[in-house]
Amino acid sequence: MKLLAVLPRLLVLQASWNHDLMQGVGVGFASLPLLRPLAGTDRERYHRAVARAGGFFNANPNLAGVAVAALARAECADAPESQIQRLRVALAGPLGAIGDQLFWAGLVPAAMAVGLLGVGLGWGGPAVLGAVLVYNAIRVACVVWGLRVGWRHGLGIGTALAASGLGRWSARVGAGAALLGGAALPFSARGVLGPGAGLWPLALVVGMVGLALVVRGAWWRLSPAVLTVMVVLAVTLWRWETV
Amino acid sequence: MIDYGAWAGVLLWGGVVGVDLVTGPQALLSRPLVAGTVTGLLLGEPGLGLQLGVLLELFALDTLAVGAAWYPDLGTATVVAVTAAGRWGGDAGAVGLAATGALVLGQVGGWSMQRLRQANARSIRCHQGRLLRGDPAVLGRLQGLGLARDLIRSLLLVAGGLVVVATAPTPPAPLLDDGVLRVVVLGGGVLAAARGLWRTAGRAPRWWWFATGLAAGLAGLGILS
Repeated sequence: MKLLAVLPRLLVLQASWNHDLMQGVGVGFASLPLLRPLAGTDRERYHRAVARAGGFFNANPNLAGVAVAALARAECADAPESQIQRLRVALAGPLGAIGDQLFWAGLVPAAMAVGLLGVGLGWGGPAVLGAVLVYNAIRVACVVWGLRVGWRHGLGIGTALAASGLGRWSARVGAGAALLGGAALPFSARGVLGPGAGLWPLALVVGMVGLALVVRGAWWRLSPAVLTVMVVLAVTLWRWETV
Repeated sequence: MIDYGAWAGVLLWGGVVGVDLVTGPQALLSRPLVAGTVTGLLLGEPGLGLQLGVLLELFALDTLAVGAAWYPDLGTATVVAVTAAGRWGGDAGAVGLAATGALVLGQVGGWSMQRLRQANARSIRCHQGRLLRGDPAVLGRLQGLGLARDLIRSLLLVAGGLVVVATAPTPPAPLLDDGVLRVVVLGGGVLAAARGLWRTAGRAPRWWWFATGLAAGLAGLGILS
């Protein structure tokens, strides 16, 4: 039940995100329900634990619960404070790298690609809703898993994470995102131009991807958004003169 | 004629979208596809919301929102874009112009996120003593302040965009009918999405998954057409 009390706090983990402590305050806030028992047994240790919990930290927000629970468990188990601090520093990197691969470069583009495919196939809003619901179900399951595994293993969380297969899953999900994203591109064009556009969406996508391959080096550095705004301005000014 | 009731709903939705980007719950509500779809429903223009949602989602696929990186706030920008396109008649040119405006507004949103982070940092420095003493109440206070700031930021961004849409002159009719503008934005979006997916796909073998997916999509589209 204590772990469930942490869940809503993890959903707003980044409310006070900043360049100084990054997620630190959010992690501290999320840890409070788990640290509260310390207040009844060792008040000084409790305040030191809260101060530690609110220090600098940054990881993928969907996996930060692993650190919240593991560190709180170590605090409640009266582990040496220097060890807890070292664990905190050690967890940030892997939870950030794996989490970002799994979510930002994997599940999020995969979910949006499914939505784009659905719109392109004419399924509209329900496709988007379905993608959002499935993503959030997976994500909440991941957060709950992270809390459980962190609380169960405490200081031994490193071994548990290595055995969890998260790294393998992030690679698979990333591949899936690349596959779905590639497939979604032509259907996105169809979704914008409409089913009556015939083969024009196909021609546009082939043309744009072909152009990207040809000018790969220079194009990689230019922002497509900036390029688009410039071209639209140029076309608008040209059309304005002929209006 | 402005439907103030619907626009009030759009403003509130825009606030939720802006907060979802970083503060929480990060439930994909801030993705342009989702933000646009719901805005379209609120305004009674679901097709328009989907169109702009798809267009701007392509640009969002080029963004990797990791750590301290700077990225545009395309979700709130999409909310304003759908409203603008609806006010201008919803034709192809209106969609193209509105999407272009969203790309610019998205940059303003990104800038506002950086100001928000600086304000959060200032609050933390003001409460540094209590943080170091392990005062639990200050953690909740700082989280609450951060949430309130982000909500205000999002509402101001959307409100500012809606005021511009309501008061700016409507673009000339030939521009609003001009399908070329929408195609230009779509082309830019495909480039952006390809770049983003390519980059996250990395080197082989994942690059091959992207190429396979693209080939399958092209084949599927060819069959459907």
